[in-house]
Amino acid sequence: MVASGRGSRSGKLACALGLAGTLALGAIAPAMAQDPSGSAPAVHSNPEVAAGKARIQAVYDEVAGLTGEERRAKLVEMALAEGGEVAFYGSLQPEQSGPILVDFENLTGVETIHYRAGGNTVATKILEEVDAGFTGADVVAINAAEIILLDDAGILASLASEPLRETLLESTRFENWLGVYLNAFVYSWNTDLVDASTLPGTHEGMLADFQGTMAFDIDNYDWFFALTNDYLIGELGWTQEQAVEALKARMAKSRLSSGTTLTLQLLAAGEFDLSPTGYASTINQMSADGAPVGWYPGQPEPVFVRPNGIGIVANTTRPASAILLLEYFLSDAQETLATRFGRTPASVEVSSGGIPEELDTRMVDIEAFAEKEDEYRALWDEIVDAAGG
Amino acid sequence: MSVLAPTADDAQPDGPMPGRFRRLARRAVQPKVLILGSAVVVVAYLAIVPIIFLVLGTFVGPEGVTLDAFRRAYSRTDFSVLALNSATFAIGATTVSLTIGALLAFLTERTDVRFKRVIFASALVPLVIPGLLYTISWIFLLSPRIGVYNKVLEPIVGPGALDVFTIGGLIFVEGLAEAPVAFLLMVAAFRSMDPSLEESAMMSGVPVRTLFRRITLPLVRPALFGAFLLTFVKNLQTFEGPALLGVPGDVWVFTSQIWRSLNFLPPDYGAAGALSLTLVLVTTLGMWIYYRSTRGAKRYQTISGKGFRPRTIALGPMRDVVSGVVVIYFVLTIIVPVLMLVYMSTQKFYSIPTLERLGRASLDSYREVLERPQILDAFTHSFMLSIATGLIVLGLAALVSWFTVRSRVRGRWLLDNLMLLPLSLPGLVIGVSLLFVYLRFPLPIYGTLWILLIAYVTGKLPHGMRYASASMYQIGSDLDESAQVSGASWLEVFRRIYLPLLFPGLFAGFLFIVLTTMRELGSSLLLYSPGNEVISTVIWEMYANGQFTQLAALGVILIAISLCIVAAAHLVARRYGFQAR
Repeated sequence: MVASGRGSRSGKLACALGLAGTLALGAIAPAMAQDPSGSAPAVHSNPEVAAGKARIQAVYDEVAGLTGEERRAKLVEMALAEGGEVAFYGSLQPEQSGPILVDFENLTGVETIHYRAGGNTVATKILEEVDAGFTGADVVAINAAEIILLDDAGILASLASEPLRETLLESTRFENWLGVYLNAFVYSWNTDLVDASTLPGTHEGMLADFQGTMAFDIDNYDWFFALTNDYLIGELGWTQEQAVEALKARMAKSRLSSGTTLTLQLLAAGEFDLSPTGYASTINQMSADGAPVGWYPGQPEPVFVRPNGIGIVANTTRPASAILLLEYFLSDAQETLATRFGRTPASVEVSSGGIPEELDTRMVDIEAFAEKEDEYRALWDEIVDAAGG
Repeated sequence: MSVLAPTADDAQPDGPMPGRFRRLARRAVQPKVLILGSAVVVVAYLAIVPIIFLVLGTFVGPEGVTLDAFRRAYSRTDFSVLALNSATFAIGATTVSLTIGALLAFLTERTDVRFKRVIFASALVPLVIPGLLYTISWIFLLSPRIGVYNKVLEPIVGPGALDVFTIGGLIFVEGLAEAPVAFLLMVAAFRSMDPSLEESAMMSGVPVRTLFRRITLPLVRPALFGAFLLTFVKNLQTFEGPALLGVPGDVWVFTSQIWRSLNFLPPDYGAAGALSLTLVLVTTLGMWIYYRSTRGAKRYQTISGKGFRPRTIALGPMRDVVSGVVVIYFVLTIIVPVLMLVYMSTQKFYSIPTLERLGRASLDSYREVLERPQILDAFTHSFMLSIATGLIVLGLAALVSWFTVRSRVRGRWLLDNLMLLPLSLPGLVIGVSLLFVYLRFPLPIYGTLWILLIAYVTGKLPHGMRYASASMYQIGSDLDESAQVSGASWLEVFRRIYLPLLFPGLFAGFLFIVLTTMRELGSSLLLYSPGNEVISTVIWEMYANGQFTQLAALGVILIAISLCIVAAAHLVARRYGFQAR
């Protein structure tokens, strides 16, 4: 009897766990056919996405030929008919995106719903939402390396008919997404500890001759790619091995850090002398607040810049609202980004804020980076291993 | 008696089938079976969902079942180095947490040390400081060139004597950060201890040191093991320290590699899953050892039908010395880091504190934080979610711990283990799994606060279980046996005997869960929706945007609010006869 009693008791636990397992499997089952490993799902065949793309194109066709206020008035009318709301998912900080969205609401009367997180998280959320047939985001704005993920998954609507694309830097125009502003990677230094006039002035000089403590952010793969592929190999004619060895030699005398924010705070406080991958706009802001940090003059050229892109999520049910907001970001908001927030807008019609015009700037080739990402990540990991000797 | 122990009915020979079905049906609708059964199913379900997701994501690729994720995960790093670093870090930090937590708990609960209330409140402070901020404040104290402690020590030992960017620094900072977990668990254990054994030993002339080693320590062993397990797994899973301190020092552990995999574009959930599953295996091994070591749990049952009040040990001439050491410890490890936050919050950017810079202090950061859109909503949401998470987790944990500790069901350790597994999963993995599941779930909870509540409850179940089961082990079975002999139903026994006796442990667990839920980030970031912001997403935003001094200001506000919650909880607890003495 004892044996049977035990058997019965463990049987009941098994029943309870089995029931829980069944419920869990039941909850996951609808998605089990899909790949949860995190690789960008192919959703080209998703009927909602195809229908959404057609709806967006229909709106573009309807307002084709209209310009200026007339075009906006028409889009506002259509947006209000769609419900008067638009959802914006982005990584732009709320102190900047907030006022832009408020201005948009005041101008158009269309309410905005704002989801804000890191670009990686934004992209993951949108991929999962679209994959599950959930209509969340209408418009997305994240950095180029991240928006490419969405583009590759086929969930961005075509912006070929967008007339404002002609007002943007050519290197920020893509079929399904467009640049909003540019982030410039710059060497930034502690002005109390480093005399800018003694800096080598070239990238290769910085690697070989800088006499101080440099701190490398562990995640700057795209900067490393641009420096190596575009400049050291492409322009100076180095071999890849030479470039990697030079970086390893510098890394052996340097320190690693994780997170741009912390790196710049430690730089301002004097823990490091120089960091090669600060954002120019952030350093300008810190400098304006009185922090002993600077990046110009003395900046090696070319300065690598990476666009932040904007696109329309193809399963939107509010195509006119989405186009209205996208066009606002590419027109009125360009001025706001430059003058109020010191950013470098993608529009050629607005003078750049924050980066002196005489500087040779060069766009990180995002598509080439996406192709060679695995190779360059492996190389960067090898370089990182050399840190601190 | 066990929930599923043989009853009088079971003892009868098997009858004809209809009679057996009737008995089964009758038993199935008993409140005991219904309540416990539901609790077991709910917690198992919550724990299984992310695990299934993790297993699928790790082993299933576009071309079917594959081990490619393990290849990707372990080709980026040397497994033996990773395992050695992780083990050194987790064991080291756990030893620091446990030593500090248990000692402080013993001093406040069982001795006449001074400043007990202050110690109790201060010991919890590391719990409420957002992890990022706590780690950063130690960077500013112990970094080689600008660390304040290094500057103070420089005239004596030379520059850069202490380096936070080493495995020693990592162990020290994380050990301090997790000490409150051990403290709260041990407080409950010391509080519930029957002093009769100690008193007998004292009467027989046993010296205090021997008494502590031979009697007190063995009596709190289940709680000590529970605390060890919880902090060990938590340290294996913690992410802020390894990312901010370990990476610059080239000390890679499992979580920093997981974090790196999740930073890939697209995030490599498969590789993160492969690393997480390794952690799950380690956790399971830990659970198995835990069960083996607490198998003779009856030996630790010290709450019996006899009334008692744990005796306070007089420290005698050592009282002032011990109190002084405790005060110095608090000043150096809690007050100074908090003061660093206060200092940072009054500056435009961080620089080594000087009188001149203190003169330039302003409250602008506080104004900017409070003027932030949605800040009030975020506070309200976080507060409501934290309280709800605490209540739900501890309600479930109290029931399930009765099942895992009191019942004699074979394989119950499996359920206990299952509930501990979410601890091995990074918050972001829990977030992705819930996003994946509830976007497709028939109930429309996606986009509401409910999905955050599910994520938090899933993530905090392991903590709730440890608090509840450590207390459950201390309750003798004589009380409920007497009650049942007197005709009390299981429900009455649970409500009127177990719940009140579990209260100290549950109360400590509640405080812990409420305070740590406020800062839960990994899952929040992915699952929150516009209009449902929580405070941790605001914290992350500030960090990501480099709004360092605002972040410090928010940290200071959070500490103040959390201490108010602790004080309010104490007032409530005192009402029910439980308080920090």
